[in-house]
Amino acid sequence: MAKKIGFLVNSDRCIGCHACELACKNEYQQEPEIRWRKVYPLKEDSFGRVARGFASLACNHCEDPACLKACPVIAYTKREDGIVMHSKERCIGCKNCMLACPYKVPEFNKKTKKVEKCHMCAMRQDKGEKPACVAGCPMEAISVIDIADDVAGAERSLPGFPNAAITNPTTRFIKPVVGRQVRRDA
Amino acid sequence: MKQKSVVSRRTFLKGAAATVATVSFGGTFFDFLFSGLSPAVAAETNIAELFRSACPRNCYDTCAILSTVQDGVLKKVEGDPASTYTRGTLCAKGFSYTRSVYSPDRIKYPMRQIGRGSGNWQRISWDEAYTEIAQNMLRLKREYGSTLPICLNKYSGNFDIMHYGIEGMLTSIGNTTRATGTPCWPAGIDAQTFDFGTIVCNDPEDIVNSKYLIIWGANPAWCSVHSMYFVKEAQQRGCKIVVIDPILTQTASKADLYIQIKSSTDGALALGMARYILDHNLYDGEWLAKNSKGAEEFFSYLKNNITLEWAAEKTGIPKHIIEMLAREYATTKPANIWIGYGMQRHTNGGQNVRAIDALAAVTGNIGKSGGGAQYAQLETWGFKYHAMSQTKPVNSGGKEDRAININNFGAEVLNAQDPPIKMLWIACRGPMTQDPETAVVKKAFEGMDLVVTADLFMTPTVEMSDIVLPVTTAFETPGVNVSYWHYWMSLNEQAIKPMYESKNDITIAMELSAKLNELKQGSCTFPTSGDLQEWVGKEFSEGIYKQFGIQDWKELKKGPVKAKGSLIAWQDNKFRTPSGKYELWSAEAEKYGHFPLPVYVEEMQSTEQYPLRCITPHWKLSIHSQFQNLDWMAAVNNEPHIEIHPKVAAKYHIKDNDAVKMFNDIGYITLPAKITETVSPDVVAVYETWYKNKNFNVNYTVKAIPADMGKKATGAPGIAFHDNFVAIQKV
Amino acid sequence: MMGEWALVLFTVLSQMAAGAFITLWVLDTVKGNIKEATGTFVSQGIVLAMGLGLLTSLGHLGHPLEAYRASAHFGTSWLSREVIVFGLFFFLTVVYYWQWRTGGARRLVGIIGSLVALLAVPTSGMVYVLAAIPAWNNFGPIFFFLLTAFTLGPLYTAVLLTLEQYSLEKSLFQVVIAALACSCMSYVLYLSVLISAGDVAALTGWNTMLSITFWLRLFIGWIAPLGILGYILAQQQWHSSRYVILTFALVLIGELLGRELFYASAVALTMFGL
Repeated sequence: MAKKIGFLVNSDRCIGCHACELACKNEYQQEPEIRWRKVYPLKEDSFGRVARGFASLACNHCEDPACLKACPVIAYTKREDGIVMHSKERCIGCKNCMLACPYKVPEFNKKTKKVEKCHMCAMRQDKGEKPACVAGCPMEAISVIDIADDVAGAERSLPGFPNAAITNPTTRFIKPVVGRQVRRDA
Repeated sequence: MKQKSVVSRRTFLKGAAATVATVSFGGTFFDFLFSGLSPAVAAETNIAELFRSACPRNCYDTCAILSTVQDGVLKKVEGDPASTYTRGTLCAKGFSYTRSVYSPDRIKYPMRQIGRGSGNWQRISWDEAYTEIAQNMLRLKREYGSTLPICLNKYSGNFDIMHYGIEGMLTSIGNTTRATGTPCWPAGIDAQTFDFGTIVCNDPEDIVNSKYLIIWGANPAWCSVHSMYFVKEAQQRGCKIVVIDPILTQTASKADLYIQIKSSTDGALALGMARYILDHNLYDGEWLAKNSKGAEEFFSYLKNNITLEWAAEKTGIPKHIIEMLAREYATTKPANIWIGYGMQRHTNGGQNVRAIDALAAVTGNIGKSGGGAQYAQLETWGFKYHAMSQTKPVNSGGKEDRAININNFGAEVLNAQDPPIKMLWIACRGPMTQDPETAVVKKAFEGMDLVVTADLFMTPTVEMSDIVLPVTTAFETPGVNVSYWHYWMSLNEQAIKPMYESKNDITIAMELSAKLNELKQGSCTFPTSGDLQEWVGKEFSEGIYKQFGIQDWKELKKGPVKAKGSLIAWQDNKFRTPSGKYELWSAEAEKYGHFPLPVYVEEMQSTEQYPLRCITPHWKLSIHSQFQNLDWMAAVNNEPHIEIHPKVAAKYHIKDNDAVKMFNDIGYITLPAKITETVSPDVVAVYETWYKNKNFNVNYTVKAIPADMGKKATGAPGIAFHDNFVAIQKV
Repeated sequence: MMGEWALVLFTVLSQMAAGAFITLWVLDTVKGNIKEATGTFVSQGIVLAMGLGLLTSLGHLGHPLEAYRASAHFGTSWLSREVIVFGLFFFLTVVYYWQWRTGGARRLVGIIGSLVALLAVPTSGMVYVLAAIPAWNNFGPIFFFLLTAFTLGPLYTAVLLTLEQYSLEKSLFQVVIAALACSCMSYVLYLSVLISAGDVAALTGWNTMLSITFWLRLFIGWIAPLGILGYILAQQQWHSSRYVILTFALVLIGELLGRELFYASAVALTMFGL
């Protein structure tokens, strides 16, 4: 069976700097309001102690993609390696995928009047390059993994992430570890 | 570098076609339905050119950039993998560069404003602009007998070495008034100058060799993301990361131990630790005996004046934590301290840095890989400053340049007499948003005959100018850049033609010089022509060549280079102090009005009227007034907040996103609240930056209170930005 | 979510057309007293409503001219299925109209059309049954879409018949009253379920309760028509075209408001609270 890939989001390494997000925009010179990748702040007290934690997420390239199912024009296809592709040529801009995706991934481009989303830099990966976000992260906090691999500490969800059972995302997470704190507000 | 690479869409299209092949049905009706499934085979093959660029921002990281240019258009930027410091990555700001180059908001041509602040701008030609500027310069010189009424305020908007030609331009017209000093970091510079003789830090890539790292009042996760990689790497290799900061910063969130110190009491903590180290014989007597001056006096100061109880009381940190910290720091080798610029923006900031330096000295961590007291370095800045070094015209009037304090710019401009200041030239700077006491700065602008600002965008400073000159971005002009932190040097090749009618600051100087000489022969010495590329070459000195191990500056076209050797500060224990030793006792400090030892100077306290300390740190999506105005940044964040502790918020009945008025005796701002436990109950935080089309400027409330140090090394004391006390109320 | 005017108009008009079609067929089948000219007029009105609905639906698309391709993914996409079924239904309304006009055998087309209409409305509802939007991820969309068909549809047919001086029967209004009452009560029940759900569905519930649209919809779409219908029945006024048209107009406005609310109040699952 072909290798199935997914993003590994290491929130322990992530410093919420948005470099990944801007690296993506830089690679594709996107419209200002289009954000294929977004850095979500986690709730301050998600991990016991107060900390600034983040989850950097793009398309989760689900194993059971709701966008693909909902799309009436077959603009979505899933590659053998698991990447969920969206064809701008096919898209008629009905936005049905935007309703169906639990992760708010597909976005409507007001200029092209079509939907677009992260394709995991499929063409870069086909050339053996890393996705722009992965290559651009100063902290090496995002990587592409074989989801069959047993990555230490990798989990299928983080507090605040929608129920992974809905579409079975291929994204894996590593939780932030918050150290000891001596605070003055006790 | 002009490496050609071929970008083809063909492989991608092939892949895409293959994946959709599984859903083909055949038949004419379905063909009709499914038309568009196989994308039109556009076999476009474009030639992309790569250029070496350098980020010229006022930033630790000063990244080496690879710029992709296609058909004369900057297509994208990437980190240059040739630098082992930036390792092929940029930060969010760096990745936004195409958006500043091609921003619809760029100033496209010279403009004259009819009525300062009116917004009534008229497009003018460069010749008209030069004529009006030159006529005013010559008129002022005639009226006042010198060019001293002309004042330059230029600083950190572009740290490319060639940009010092702006200072050169002013020199070439005669004696002028100069905004002198540096707002951000001078107290710490003076402190290290007293202690070590100057500022030198270890190569930040050396952080990985530390076994104990205290990040003291710095937030590299926001302000030096590439260093944060090495911090994390050190942590993975077993280094304990301690962050001391009044705010639970992004860096603090990644620490093994975070200590929330009462703001501005860092010296008390350092001295308390030193006392513990002394009492428990954990100091390096041998190193001190050999390499320091004043250890005995320092120890006796500790014994007579410092107790751990006092330190605990001052800092708000429990005594047992101070003891643990001191013990761990003194016994783990090598132990490193990164001293941030944030912690020295206080009226006792310089003294606090000296106290921290002393910790590194008494534990013998100076001059060691993995050790040290890192602040900054200027070792790689030994250029010729050819563009800057101009001669003054003969008999141009006045004795010498007049320095006014950049850190109290508004008031100093207003107070300048004999002659008064009548004209401002602003470049690489945004005083209307970034200087303290905005209202005073505005008043100073209002009193001018002429304000000329060279800028990229319609900033609030430009809005208060009479003439705006459109300047080039780093991608439209050649230059060379070094960092005040790491040891790399990057060439900045011109990647694209200047956009619109924009010009490089040196070109502006040359053309203005031509106009001045046209109107009055001999009134300006600045060369009236020259090749900018060649001018870059002229900045290089033999010393630089030797330091970086190159024969010719053009070698930098192959990639950035790193200084050879001397990457560990003070490894030879040859200090540049008057005694040649590390000076715990500094007669030089005494000369500048400080106590010769690192002693504790009382921090500023809040008052009943203004009970909260407002800290105004850097924001992660901007460097001062740069970047946050871009639409790509606005998509991520377009709203400033005041960060308030839940306890404070409850007291004032403030909920998340409620409008809050923050005020003191000089001004106020109103902005939405963010309730967060990352600030302490005695502190509110507002990140300083400039938002496009937002009525936000925290400096309306920030007073120009001088920090204790900075006069010696930078000409003026720094600003105690974080000694700003305010009250808040729900609106 | 933004109010979606194109979807509001499409769903309400298509459901109205479906209900109206079934009503016409039932009256024709059960009563058999509709003149061909009258039936032609009414069926023409249904074609018009459905055609208008389809046309407005294009307004939702970024590329309306490529709408024809939207039927491609009938294997999994409820939107494709909706397009196909309503496309078919529209075709049948045209045929039905043609049969009325030419006096052809319309009963078969009527029964097929009615069955397709009964299939089409729930298909529309299924488009919105999505795990990503908890407030919709239940029987609600199907149920409420059907109720729109059974309140607005008969009223639309009634209005068209009235215009042709057809003498309406009491039973038609009894059906509408039952459907309206059911619609109103089940909506209140649905809201209380949402609000007690405690997740983002509760947000949808509160969004609804707190919006002026909801209260307008309550009075214009349910209370006022029920009052008028009650009055009509009590006063035996169901032959009065004035009241029929007024009731229809109120219910139509109510349904349009309700549908706008349906789209505007839906809250999707949040990403880390955002």
